[in-house]
Amino acid sequence: MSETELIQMSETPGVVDGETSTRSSTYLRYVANKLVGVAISLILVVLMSFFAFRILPGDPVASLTRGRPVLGPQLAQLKKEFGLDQPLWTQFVIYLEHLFQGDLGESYTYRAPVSDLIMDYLFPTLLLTTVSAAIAITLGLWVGQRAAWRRGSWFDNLSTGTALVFWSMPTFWFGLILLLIFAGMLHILPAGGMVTPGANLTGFPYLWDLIRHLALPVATMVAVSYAQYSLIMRASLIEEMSSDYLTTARAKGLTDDAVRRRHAVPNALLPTVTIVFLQIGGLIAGAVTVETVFSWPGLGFLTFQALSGPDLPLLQGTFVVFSSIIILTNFAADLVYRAIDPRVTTA
Amino acid sequence: MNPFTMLNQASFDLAQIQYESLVMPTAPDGADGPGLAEKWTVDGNTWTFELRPDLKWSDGEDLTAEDVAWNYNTIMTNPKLAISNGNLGDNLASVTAVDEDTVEIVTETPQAINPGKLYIVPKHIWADMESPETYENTEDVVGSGPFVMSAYSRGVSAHMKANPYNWRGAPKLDGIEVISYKNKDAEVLALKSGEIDWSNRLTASQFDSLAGAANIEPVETGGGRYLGLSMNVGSTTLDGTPMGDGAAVLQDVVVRKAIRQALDTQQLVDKVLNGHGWTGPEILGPPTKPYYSDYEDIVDPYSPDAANEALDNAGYTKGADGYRMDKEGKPINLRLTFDGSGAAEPQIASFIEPWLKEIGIKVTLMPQSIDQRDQERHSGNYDLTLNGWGNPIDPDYMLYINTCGSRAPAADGAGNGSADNWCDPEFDELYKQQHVELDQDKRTKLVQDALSIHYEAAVVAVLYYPAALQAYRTDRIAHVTKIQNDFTAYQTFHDLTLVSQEEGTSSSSSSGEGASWPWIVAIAALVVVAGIVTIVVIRRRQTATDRE
Amino acid sequence: MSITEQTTDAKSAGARPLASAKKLTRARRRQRLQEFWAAFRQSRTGMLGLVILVIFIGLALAAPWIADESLLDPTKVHNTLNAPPSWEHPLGTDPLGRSVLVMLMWGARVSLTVGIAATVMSVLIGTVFGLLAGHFIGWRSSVLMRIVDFFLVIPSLLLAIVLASVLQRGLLTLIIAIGAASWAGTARLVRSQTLSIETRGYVKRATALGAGHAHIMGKHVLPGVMPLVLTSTSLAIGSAINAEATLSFLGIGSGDTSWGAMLQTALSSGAATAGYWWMVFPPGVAIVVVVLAFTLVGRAVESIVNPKLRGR
Repeated sequence: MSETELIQMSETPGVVDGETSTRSSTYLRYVANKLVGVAISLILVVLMSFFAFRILPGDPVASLTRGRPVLGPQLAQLKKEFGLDQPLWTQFVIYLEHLFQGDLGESYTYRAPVSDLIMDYLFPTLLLTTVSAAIAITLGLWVGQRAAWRRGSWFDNLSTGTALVFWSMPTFWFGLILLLIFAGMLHILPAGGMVTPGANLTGFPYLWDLIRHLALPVATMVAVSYAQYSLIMRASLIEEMSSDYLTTARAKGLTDDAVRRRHAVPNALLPTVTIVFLQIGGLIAGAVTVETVFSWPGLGFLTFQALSGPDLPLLQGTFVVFSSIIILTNFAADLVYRAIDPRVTTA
Repeated sequence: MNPFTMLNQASFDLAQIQYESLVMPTAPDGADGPGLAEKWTVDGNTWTFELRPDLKWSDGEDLTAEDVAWNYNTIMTNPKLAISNGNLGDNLASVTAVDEDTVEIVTETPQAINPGKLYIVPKHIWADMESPETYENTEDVVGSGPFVMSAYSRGVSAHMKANPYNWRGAPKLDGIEVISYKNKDAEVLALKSGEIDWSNRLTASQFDSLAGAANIEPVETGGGRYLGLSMNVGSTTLDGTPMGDGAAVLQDVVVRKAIRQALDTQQLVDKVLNGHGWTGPEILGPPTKPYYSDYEDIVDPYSPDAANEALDNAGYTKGADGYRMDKEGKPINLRLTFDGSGAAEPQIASFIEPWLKEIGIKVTLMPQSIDQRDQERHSGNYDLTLNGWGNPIDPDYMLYINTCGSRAPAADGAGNGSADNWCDPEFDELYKQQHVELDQDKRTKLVQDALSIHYEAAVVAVLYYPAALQAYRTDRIAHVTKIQNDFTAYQTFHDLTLVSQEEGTSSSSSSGEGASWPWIVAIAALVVVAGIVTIVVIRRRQTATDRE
Repeated sequence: MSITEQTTDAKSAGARPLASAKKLTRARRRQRLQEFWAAFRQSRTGMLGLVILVIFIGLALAAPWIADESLLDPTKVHNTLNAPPSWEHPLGTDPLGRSVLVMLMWGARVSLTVGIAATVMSVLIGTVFGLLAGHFIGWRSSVLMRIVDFFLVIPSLLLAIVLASVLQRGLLTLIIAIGAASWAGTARLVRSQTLSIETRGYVKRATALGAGHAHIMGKHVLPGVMPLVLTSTSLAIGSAINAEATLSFLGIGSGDTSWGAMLQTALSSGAATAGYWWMVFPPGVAIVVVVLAFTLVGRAVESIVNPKLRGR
């Protein structure tokens, strides 16, 4: 669990920043504004990806050859090959030139193009995070609305308590315990990886194999993250339920269930959905520990590995990709929120 | 897995089963034995290797002396292809194919190390490439080793298929699966549940826990690695310019010896290694036969009292707080840097601090990342640091990194290959002599004399030599030949080769037994420097079809 | 307008401009505090969390008197290594023979210190940034918010890892790394709250009367955002404790005995697979209990500060 998740959770009721424009006529200006922001963020990310990681301690050439018999000329040749013998400024210009051509350079440790590496590792991370997010959101929203509707019931107390306990756990610790139980003691699920290597499965057996491998990492991510969706949903529904229009709706003779489904839940979904959007970036970053525990071949772990060395091209590449995903989802979240905010559309 | 430019451990591990060299490490102690070459002779600077007759590559082409000569000449002339093994081409004058089965290697100066350790790749594949340095070499690899890579999934696994043309005969097993685990615990669980069949580079706790497990045989072999407490003797660059910020007090050999004498290294073996290792005085440990010596007549045995007395006599008086002061009366406070990310080094540091407190020396613990620790060490910015080296079976490199010439060219520490930034011309002289000495007994004596000087200088307090710990499933693997272990991967793969070979040669009845198993698998797991773990599965040919 | 603003508007609808007499102010504060305490005592879960926290903090403070520091020195203890729980060592021993219970107590000091200090740091930075970004308008606000957004965008774990690798390892570095990586959320929260408070009548009147920026922010806005900030603080401590454990797990801890470091030792030495559960469970359970306790207290405070949520 990352720190921002928590802060954002405590931010529950206040999802959007307080910019006050509400008229749809200002929508375009709002989008333009946000686009400028996105552009600035992206430029900052590119700048930072280059310079920030240069302050990391460690000599990439020395790290790469650690523990192996190497001689001076080999070290010098490597340094030259990586371009590390050039002045920093020249290196930066070369980096920019390559970046504009879509070339992210070559990883020091893997001796392969960074873009290839990212392509290889992106899918597993997206698979893991989207499946986890989908389950966590569905579960969270369902539990949250049910708990809110029956506020104070045993279901409410139990589900809120459970959610809080899971939410308090260090992700890696919970993952490890699942691993010990299901892979270590019961032997019913594999101990790591994404597919059974060498099995060359296709079709349904492949899917089943994938699901078996997904089970534990997804369970870990869902357990630790569904709480916030459930608590947010619960809080906003409770708030919604005290609104006057619900009393009106009830007075019209609608059943409780209909009131809930047709009126309260849709309105309460709004802030929750926004939070969900804002969390997507955090979810990807949060995959680092889960990927480590379950040997999941994903981008989070790749980034973490790249910090040692440091493998500068790989770090720069993953950082740019990670941050861009987050910037763009945040942008999308802003747009979506503006678009579906009833105070905007009904104005 | 480009054998010319590979740098990470996983690539080396994979290269080791795909390519062979003229000479190869051989059981039980890993000494140079026949590889592609059946026999060889040395005459001064000239080494002549006789290749085995009728060697073939995995694609069926002939493997000839021409291939061997091309490989050596390539790393000697193309610096871009000398990244991985440039050190092997360092002292070579010429390499020529005398005839189809004879290679002649002429060195510039005589050397005791056998030059025949370069992995040979097929000339007919590599010679015509436009830029061989960028070739990834992960599909349909052509090699000479028992297995070659046939499929590869980055960061996940590699499938290695048997090479029927291997000179030992076709492996009995159909293929090997190398699997990457990022979490060692998960790997051990996988071994226990039978998902994998071989795992190595285990920790002591994991190893001990596997000892009682069903169908699992733990294997402990000698390691060629030492871990020591390096003391900054006053680092200098190649031209003797002082560099770094080491504490002046450590330039006094009395202090260094006292520190070494205050360390109860046996306790580290017992507690940190759970007894899976050895302790000894110098950088070559007991597994490094025949060069190991206990240096009985010069060793200072563990004794905090003697250390205290030596420091008292040398004029390092204790202050009111029980800590000593240097000769100017300033309190001594030594920084101890170590790799804070693993298990062993933080534990060791927590022993060293109180031990040195016993002799009145204050230590400040400074955990660092392994990269940072190395960088500071290279530029001489440390007082005490935990530093380990794994050596190939031959001691030459272990001595080389302690010669004056391996120090940093400039004060930024870049290109520094020195173990401890130490320099002693007398040591260098002995290093040079053993480097060219071909008589084993004389060379052993020279190596031990050199290390006696190293011991007297108290550059590093050797703490222990960890054993190499592995485990395999007995329901999959019939037999393992132990080779004196150093870079574990190196051995494991050769072990594996031997396993499959011996299984095959034992008798044809073993395949009858095999039929009763659904499939027979052997697995090796390798922790890579970066922390990636790999596993190997070997599958029996017939049974692979059974499963379909 | 956001929901926060709505609710806080509702809450402070009855608030009147502050009286100038200091005595009156102090008396009112004391009264408010008493009311707050009375309300807090109503919350059973909040009280449970508080009691747990008092016990843990008490044990952490008393650790040197209960178990001497020398019990952490592996050269001084000579127990069986990796021993299961017994009467002598209720939670067993670690790979170096030290009592897990003793380490747990000493580890609480580090984990709680890091958790609290990192949160204080993050909340301080976040509040200052949020106040400034909310109070000033135009380009200054834009620049500040750009910075805040940027810190929100960078994966905080990655930022913490980079900071922890660049600075010299230690408690302070860990605090800075966690604090610096987590303040942006608070800044956003404070900013939106500041924006809403500044639209209120009494602030507008004060501005009209010529009050300076410092006066407005310090005397009017800050007291208004404080309850919200305090709420988020107690919640954030929990996640800072978790962050410490995560960084230690990834091998970039402070080097001191903390719960995270204990877990890391247990994992990297292979205790987990060896079945030494007494090294894996106690530190993890301690983290869960303390984080939960902070969360319970935080939620109880939140529901008092934000009456609409009362009873949730």
